[in-house]
Amino acid sequence: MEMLPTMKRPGEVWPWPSRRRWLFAALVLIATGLLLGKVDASNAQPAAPGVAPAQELAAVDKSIGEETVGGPRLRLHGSSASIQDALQLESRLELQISGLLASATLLQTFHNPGQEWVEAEYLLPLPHEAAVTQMELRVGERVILGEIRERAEARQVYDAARRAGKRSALLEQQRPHLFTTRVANIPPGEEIAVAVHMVLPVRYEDGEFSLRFPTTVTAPYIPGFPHPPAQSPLAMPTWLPLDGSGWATATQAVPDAPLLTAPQQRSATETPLENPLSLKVELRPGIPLAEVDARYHTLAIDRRDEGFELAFSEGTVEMDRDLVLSWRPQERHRPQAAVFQETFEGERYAMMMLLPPVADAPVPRQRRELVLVLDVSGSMQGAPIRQAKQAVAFALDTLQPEDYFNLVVFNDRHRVLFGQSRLADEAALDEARRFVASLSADRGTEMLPALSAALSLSVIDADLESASPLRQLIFVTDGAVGNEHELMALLERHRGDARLFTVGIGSAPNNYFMHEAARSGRGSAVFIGQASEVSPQMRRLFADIQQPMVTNLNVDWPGSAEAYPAPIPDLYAGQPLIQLARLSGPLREGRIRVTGTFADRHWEQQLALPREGDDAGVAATWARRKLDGLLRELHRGIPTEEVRSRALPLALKFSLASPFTSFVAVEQEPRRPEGASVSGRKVPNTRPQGQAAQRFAFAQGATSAPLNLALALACLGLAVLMLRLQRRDSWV
Amino acid sequence: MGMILTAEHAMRRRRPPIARYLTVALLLGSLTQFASAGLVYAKAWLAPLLIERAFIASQQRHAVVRPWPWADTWPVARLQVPRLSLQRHVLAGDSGEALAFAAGMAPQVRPGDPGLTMISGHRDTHFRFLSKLQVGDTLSLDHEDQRIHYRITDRVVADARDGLIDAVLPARGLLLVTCYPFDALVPGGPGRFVVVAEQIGNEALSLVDRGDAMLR
Repeated sequence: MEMLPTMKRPGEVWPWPSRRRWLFAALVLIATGLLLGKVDASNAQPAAPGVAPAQELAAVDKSIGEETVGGPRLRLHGSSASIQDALQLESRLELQISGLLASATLLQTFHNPGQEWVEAEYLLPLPHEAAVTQMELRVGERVILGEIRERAEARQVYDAARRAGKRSALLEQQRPHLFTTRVANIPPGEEIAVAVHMVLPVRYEDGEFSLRFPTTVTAPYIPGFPHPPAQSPLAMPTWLPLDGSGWATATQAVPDAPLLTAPQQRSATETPLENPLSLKVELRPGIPLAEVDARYHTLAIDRRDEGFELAFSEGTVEMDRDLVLSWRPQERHRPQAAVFQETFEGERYAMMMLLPPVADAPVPRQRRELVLVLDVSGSMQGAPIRQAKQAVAFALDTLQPEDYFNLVVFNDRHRVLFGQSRLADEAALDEARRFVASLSADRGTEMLPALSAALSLSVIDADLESASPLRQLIFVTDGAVGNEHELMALLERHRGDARLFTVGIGSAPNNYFMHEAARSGRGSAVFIGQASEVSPQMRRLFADIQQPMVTNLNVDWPGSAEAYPAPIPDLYAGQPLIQLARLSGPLREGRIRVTGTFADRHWEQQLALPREGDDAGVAATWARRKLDGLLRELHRGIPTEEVRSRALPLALKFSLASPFTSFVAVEQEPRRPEGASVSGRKVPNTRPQGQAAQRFAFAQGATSAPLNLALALACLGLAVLMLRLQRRDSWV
Repeated sequence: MGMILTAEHAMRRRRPPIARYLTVALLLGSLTQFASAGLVYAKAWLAPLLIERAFIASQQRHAVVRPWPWADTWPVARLQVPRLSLQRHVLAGDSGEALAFAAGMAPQVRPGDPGLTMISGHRDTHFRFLSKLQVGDTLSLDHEDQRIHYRITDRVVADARDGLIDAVLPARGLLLVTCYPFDALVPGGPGRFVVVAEQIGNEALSLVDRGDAMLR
C-alpha cells in the first residue's frame, strides 16, 4: 500500500497536494489576468494616452464640444513636431468707437517656443466691411510700419526679406472677410507681433448700435473639380496663391482654395486657451445709453467720464465665436440723423446717416410665396443644424392659409420638397414639418445648384384671382463655401423679382456672404448664434419682410459729389440710409436733400452739412465703399483686369488692403544666421463653438482571429500544464 | 480498512478522468480556436487571389464580376500605396461579409465624387498596413476607368460611438478606416484608426494601365 492516502476529509476529490494547488491557481489567475488585461485595453477609450506609442502623442485634446459625447481624443502625427514646437498665438483687440465708425487695432503675437527659426502663416478673419489701413511689425519696443504695395510686388518684397533672414510680415486679402498673415524669421524662443489697423462701420438698426468682429472661420467647403489654377477659366491671376499651402487643392470654382483652408483645432474649454483673445473697447457714444451688451461674451463694463470701457470679464477668451457688441441709446435720445466729415489730402469727405420714416399705421398683409432654402451640409453639424431647423419651423409657422410655400434642402445634392409651390394648408405644412424634423447634417455644400434650383422654381399658377404674391427666398446657412464669387454671379443673373433674405447660422458664419447675398437679393440678413436667438432674429426678419420699403432713394449733396453705395439700396423699416461722399466744388456748407418713396408717397427730408469736421476714418470708409462697388462688377462678368485697373490706384492712394494690394513690413538688418534655415508653420484657427466635426458610420474594423489565436494558445498552454502536473502527481 | 480501501479505490478511479477530460476539453478548445483563427487568415489570404482575378475581369468587361459564384460582393477598386509598394483590392460594401475577404467601400460616396469615400478593413488582416502610413504619403485608387490620386493629410483616432473625426476633412477625399488599437485582442471595440487623404488629381486609366493590372 505505497499509495496509502494522506488523510483527507471525506468528499474531497481534488487531485493535487495543496502546494501544487496554489501554484496552479496562481497560473490560472495570471493567464486570465493577462487575457482580461488585453480585453480591457481594446475596450477602453481609444484615445487613452497610455495606449498609443508615446512618440505619436502630439496633443491630447481634452475639450468636449457641446455635441460630442466621446472622451479625450488623441491626434497622431507622422512628423516629429511635438506640441512644444507649435507656434503660440495671442491676440488683443482694441476698439475705439465714436459715432458710426470704429477704429480697431488687432495685435497678434506669434511666439516661437521651438529651437529653429520659423515662418508663421495664419488665416485671419476680419469684418468684411472694414477698411484695413495699416499693418505694422512689432519686435520688442520697435515698430516697423508696413507699406501698401501691389499684391505680387508685396509678395516679392516679403519673399526676398524672408530669404535674407530679415524679420518681416505680409498681410494679404483673400476675401473681403479673410486675410492671410505671414510672419517670417521668428527667432527660436522669441516672438514677433503684427498689428493690423482698420476702420469699420457701426451698424445701426431698429434703434440699436452693433459691431461684429469675427475671431475664427468656419472651414469652407470647396466645390468643383481639382484644377491646375493657371488653366482655370475663372482664374483671377492676382488672387492666386503662389504656393499650395492649404488642405484643399485649387478647383475650377475656387482657384485660391489652398489660401482659404487653414488647419483647425478644437476649442479649449479650460485654460490654457488655444487662441486667447483679450479686449479693450473705448465706447464714446455721445448720447446717453440704456444698455451695453455682448451677444456671445460676458463683459466687464467700466463707466468713464466720456463713455464706457469694456473688456472680457474672464480677461481672455477662446477665439471660437464672433464678438458682437451692441449698445442701445435711451429711447428719446435715439439719433435720427448725423453727418461726419474728414479732410484727406486736401479733399473733403462726408458720411451721412438718416433714419427714414416709420409706418404709422399697420400695412395690409400681402400674400406671399415663401421658398425656404436650408443648408444641411457637414459644417452645420451640431448646434447649427438644430438652430437652423428651429428657424425653418418658425418661418413655416408664419404662413397663412392663402400663402404659397416650398422647401429646398441641400448638401452636396439638393432636394425640392414640392414640384411646385403649394398652398400652406395644414397637410402641406405637416408634410414640410415632418420632412424638416427628419433632416440631419452631413457631406458637402454644393450651394450653387441648390440656389439655382430655388431661384428657378416654377412660379405658381398665374391665373390666380388676385395679384401674384410676393416671392421671397429665405436662405438658412452658415455660408461656409469658398465659391462666393460664383454664387454672387448667379444671384446677379437670376434673382428676378424674388427677394433673398439670409439667416446666418453658427458661432462664426461667413458674414461677408450673408450680407452680400442679401444685398444682391435686395433682402436683409439676420444671424443666429445660439438657440435663444432663433425667435427674436426670425421675428425681426419677418418684420422686415412684412413692412413696406423706402424706395427710389436719392441724395442731393451741395456742390458735386461722388457718393457710395451706388445705386442706393432700398431700405427696410428701422434701417438707416447711409451714404459716403467725396465733395468737390466751392460750397463749404449747405443742405443735403434726401428724397424717396415710402408707402406709395413721396418723402423728402433735409439735413444740414456743417462747415467742416474732423472725424477720422470717413475718407478710408468712402474709399472702401467705392472699392466694394468696383469689386461687385466682377460678379457681373466685368473682366478682372478692367476692375483691377480702376481698383488698384484707389487702394494704393488710400492705403487699403484689397485683392490687388497687400501690406508688407520688413526690418532693415538680417537677423537669421547664415547657416540656419527657416521652416514654415501654420497657426490653426479654433473650430467655431458648437460646431461638431463631421460624423461617420464606421464599419467593424477587426476580426476575431487574434482573440481566437490567443484563446487557442491559452487553452493549449493550460492543457500542457495539466498533463505535466498529472503525470508528476498521479501517474509517476 | 475496507472502508478506506474502497474510498481509496474510488478516488484512484475518479481522479485521473476529471483531469484527463479537462485536458482533452482544453485541447479540443485550443483546436477549434486555432481553426477559427486559421479560417479567418486563410480567407484573408486566399480571397484576394480570387478577388484580383475578378477585378481584372471586371476592368476588361466593364461589368460586375463576382470573385466566386456565391459571393454577395464584388471588387470595385484597387488601392495602391507606392511607398510601401503594396496593393489592396476593395469590395463593394463594408459589411462583415465583405470585410472578411478584403477591404470594403461604403456605398455613400463614390471615389472622385464630392465628399469622402470611406474604405474599411480589418486591422489584423488587410488594413494592418494602415499603421505604417504617414502624413504626406500618396495613394492611388483605380475605380472604373479612373485612377484617382490622394495625399494623406492626417491620421487620427476616432470613436465609433460618436462617429466624429477630429481632423480637417477635405472636400473630396478618402478615409481609410480600421479598428484601433492595433494590438487589441477582442474585436468590437469603439476605437477606429482613420487615415484622411485628400484627392490631388485623377487621370483616365488607359488600356496600358489596365493591361498592367491584368499582368499582375
